[in-house]
Amino acid sequence: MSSSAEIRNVEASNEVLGAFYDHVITIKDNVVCLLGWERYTGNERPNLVVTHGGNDVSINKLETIFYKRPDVNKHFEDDLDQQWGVARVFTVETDEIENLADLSYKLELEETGVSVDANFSQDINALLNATSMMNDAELGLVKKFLLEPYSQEIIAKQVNAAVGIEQLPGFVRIHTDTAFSINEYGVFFQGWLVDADSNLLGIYLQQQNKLSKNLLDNKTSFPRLDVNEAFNTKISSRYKAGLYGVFEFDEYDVSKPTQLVFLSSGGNVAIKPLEVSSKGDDPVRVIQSLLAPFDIKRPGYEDEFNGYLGKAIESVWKGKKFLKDTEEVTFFGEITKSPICSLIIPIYGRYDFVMYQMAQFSKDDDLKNAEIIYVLDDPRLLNEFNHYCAGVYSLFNVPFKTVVYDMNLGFAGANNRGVTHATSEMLLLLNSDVMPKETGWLNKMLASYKSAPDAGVLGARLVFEDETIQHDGLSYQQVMQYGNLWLIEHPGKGLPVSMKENKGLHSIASITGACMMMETLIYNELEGLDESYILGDFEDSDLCLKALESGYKNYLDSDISLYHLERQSQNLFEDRSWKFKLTIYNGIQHTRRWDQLIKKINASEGDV
Amino acid sequence: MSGLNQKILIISHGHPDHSKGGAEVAAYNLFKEYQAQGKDALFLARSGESSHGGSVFSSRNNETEVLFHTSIGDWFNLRCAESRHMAEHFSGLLTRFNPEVVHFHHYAHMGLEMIRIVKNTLPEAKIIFTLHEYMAICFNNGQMVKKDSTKLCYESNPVDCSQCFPEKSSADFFMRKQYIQSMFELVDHFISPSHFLIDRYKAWGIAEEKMTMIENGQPKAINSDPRPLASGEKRGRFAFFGQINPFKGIDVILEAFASLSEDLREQVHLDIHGANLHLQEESFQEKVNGLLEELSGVVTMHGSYEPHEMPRLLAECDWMIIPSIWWENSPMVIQEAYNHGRPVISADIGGMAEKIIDGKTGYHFRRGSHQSLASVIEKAVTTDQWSRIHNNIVKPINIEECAHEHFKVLENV
Repeated sequence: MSSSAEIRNVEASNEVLGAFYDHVITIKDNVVCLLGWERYTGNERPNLVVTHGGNDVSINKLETIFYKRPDVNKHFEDDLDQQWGVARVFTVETDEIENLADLSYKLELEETGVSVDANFSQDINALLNATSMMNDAELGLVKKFLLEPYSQEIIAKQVNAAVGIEQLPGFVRIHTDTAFSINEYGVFFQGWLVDADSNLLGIYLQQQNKLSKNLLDNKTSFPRLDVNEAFNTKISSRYKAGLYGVFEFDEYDVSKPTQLVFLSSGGNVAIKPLEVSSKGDDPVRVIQSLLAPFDIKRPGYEDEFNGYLGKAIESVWKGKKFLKDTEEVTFFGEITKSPICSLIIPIYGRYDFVMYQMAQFSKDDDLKNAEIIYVLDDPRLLNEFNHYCAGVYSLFNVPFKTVVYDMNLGFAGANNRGVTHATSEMLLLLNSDVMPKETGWLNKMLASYKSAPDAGVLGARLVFEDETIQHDGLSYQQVMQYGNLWLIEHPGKGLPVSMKENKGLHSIASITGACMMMETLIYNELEGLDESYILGDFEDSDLCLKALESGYKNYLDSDISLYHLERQSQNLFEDRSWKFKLTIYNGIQHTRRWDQLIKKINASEGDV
Repeated sequence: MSGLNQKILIISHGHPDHSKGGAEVAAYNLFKEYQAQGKDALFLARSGESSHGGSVFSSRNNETEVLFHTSIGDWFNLRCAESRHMAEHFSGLLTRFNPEVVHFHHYAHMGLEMIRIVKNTLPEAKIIFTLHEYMAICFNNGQMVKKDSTKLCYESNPVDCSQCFPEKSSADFFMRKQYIQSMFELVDHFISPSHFLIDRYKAWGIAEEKMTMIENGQPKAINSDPRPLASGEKRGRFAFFGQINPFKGIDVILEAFASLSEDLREQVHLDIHGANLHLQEESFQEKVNGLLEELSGVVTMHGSYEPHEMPRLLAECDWMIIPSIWWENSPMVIQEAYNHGRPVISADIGGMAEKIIDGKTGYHFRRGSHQSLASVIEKAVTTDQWSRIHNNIVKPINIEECAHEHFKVLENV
């Protein structure tokens, strides 16, 4: 400890009380660390008084860490057990103080006080050198009150003197399997970490003097048996070396060089360059990559979804809204001036459904009095879609319009955009693979809706091509494997309709978005489908529950039956396990929002 | 019939529209007969195809035939790959249909735990189980044949089983048996189309009084006239029906024909009605194809056939040959042959030996021995016993009688 090798200014001390601060380190613009020694002979510890221009300055969060300074003991010929070394950390009300160097320090024992001089120094190494004399308990205090809260500042002061990771105290090794940018949100990291003596306080990313948040606050550890094997003399067989997590980093720029920064509990800093790749700007791809190592069978997986991983996913999904999208409206034929209903039909992937629907709609005059709006949000189909629609119109002469976007908006997004083009007081959200079984269904639905008291949302019975139930209302269920998560069920799905009671028009908590009628005003009042569910299965239930919460009642008319030729899965989701993880993520959001209401619904057996 | 047991759920491991195995066809025929007898019957058949909208169920032909889209995840313990398919979907179907009787014909490809789900969901329902094979006894596809040889097993025991499957210990086989038996204990009554199978399960641990033999019912009013012969022609037309794989002994039959004398060869012909040779191991394919080449003119390979073609194909033959090297249970083709008045030549083991009375309704030959079969063929063609044997054959029970036998069982459980 070079700066305190000799005891200076000893004359400032007296027999009762003596002190000298070797260093005053400003950690941050209002955080000061005094480093030196304080010696007193009575039983009472002295108080620190900070003054500025003769006036007392109020200080907060005063933390004082005492430790041994053998050089001081030797000088005063004191018992070697006495702990005269001190580190005082505090924040100062800085309103009227321009320069922390102008502060004066005084130690007081009740009424007799002594003034203490202080060297003004920014040498953070002094602090780190001081910590080398501390025992574990003292080090713990330094860690808690200084290194953890002010790690960013300490790293900023230290990074120029950083060492390689192998030179850190203890045994620290890290390996990167993958690191990619989460657009501007930060960086996702996956690999392994061995920190045999738990020496690391934090791992950060640094880019152009900016530091990320601490990876160790936003990570998941899991066993990596290969790593345990490789380092079996350093770590126990139970050590969890596998690690993935997120470096939160405001406005991260993947094009610029990045390095990992390690902060040890002794305040040492090490650096290591990091190659960060990009997954492009497609939010779905980025989310897919984020979910890759995530394991829903791991106990506590909800914490990751509720915590850092959920935040990262949400930021990517919300970020998509800022991608530029264009909107192009095309009319096919002349739509009636005051339509009885606006049908919003999203198209993604297959668009031949337009022809199949129109062939059926053309047989039904109700549909000619309606406003049919196809919403395409599949950028792969921009060229052919309207071309195809023109051909379909020339064949069936049922007027409709298309609204085309050059990006994937998801089910909720496509419906919400479509609704902004609706002119009728009534809305019907309809999937493109829903086909009528007979004519007159639309007016029947409208009549049911008008007859139902306080109607919010109305649905119909939907059947597969083999006359088995596809949808006859939704229900909520928990399964042991997923704890408190509410999953949405289609009771009776795949079973012949004869095996399910037909209740006609009846009230029900929620229905599918594949065929959902409601007043346009109510849709807008409820702010439509929630777009924060990712490509999800939950936004229809969410809308129904919003309607219930706002005092409306929801209904299902099982006397009205349409075909729903639901596909196995959309082409988008080739990796079904990934899609399943996403369903769980969406389910957690849904459960968080609606747990209480769903419990109430189930307690009343759906009679709401 | 009484008002009891009006609602019956029949469970099969396949729908005959997709898979025409004996057990599937037997289950389906019985289901149709239950319906014809005025029962409210539902046929639940497993399907390996994916379903619309990923749903676990779909319907086939009409609303009384439901497909169950599921699969086995653990063949050793015969457990379903998806616990929710059992605990929620199958259980939900039971609640909705609410049968008084659940009649299992199989658990393969679905899960043995279906039995327990029935008990959990509908404790009052009677559970009837028709055993068509030995899967519970033998992990080697239920063949009761040693895995790497063709040696027959008479019963299972954990130590011997683990020698066939060294990756499993005898303790594993012991636990497997205990587990399967815990499911079988929930069954009210077992039915089997052969005494041979009943004896095997008795040895394995099912009480004899819990098992009843009921032969598979056959269609009524079938023509059983002999094949018209040209003048001087012998009864030398033989036919084989079934899958072409080593267990069915197709190589035994071909080797037997190949070893016939030149003179005899000119008096016989073999028609093979079966498929899937291309799915077998290459060495087996080569052996069979080599023999077929050698026997061109004597043997005709026809490929697969549809059930409705069976009467015509049988009318064109004099004898049916069943050369299986494994036990069999009660091969449907034997009953079909009898229904058409055709004598059967079979291996002298298991369900075949039980159903064919040597010298009376057909002939036995030593299992796996082509020499023995060749001499039986010679005897069949040269000794003019055909008419006597043909006249000995008693019409098998028809499907209506078969259903009534089942109703008797149902009334007594």
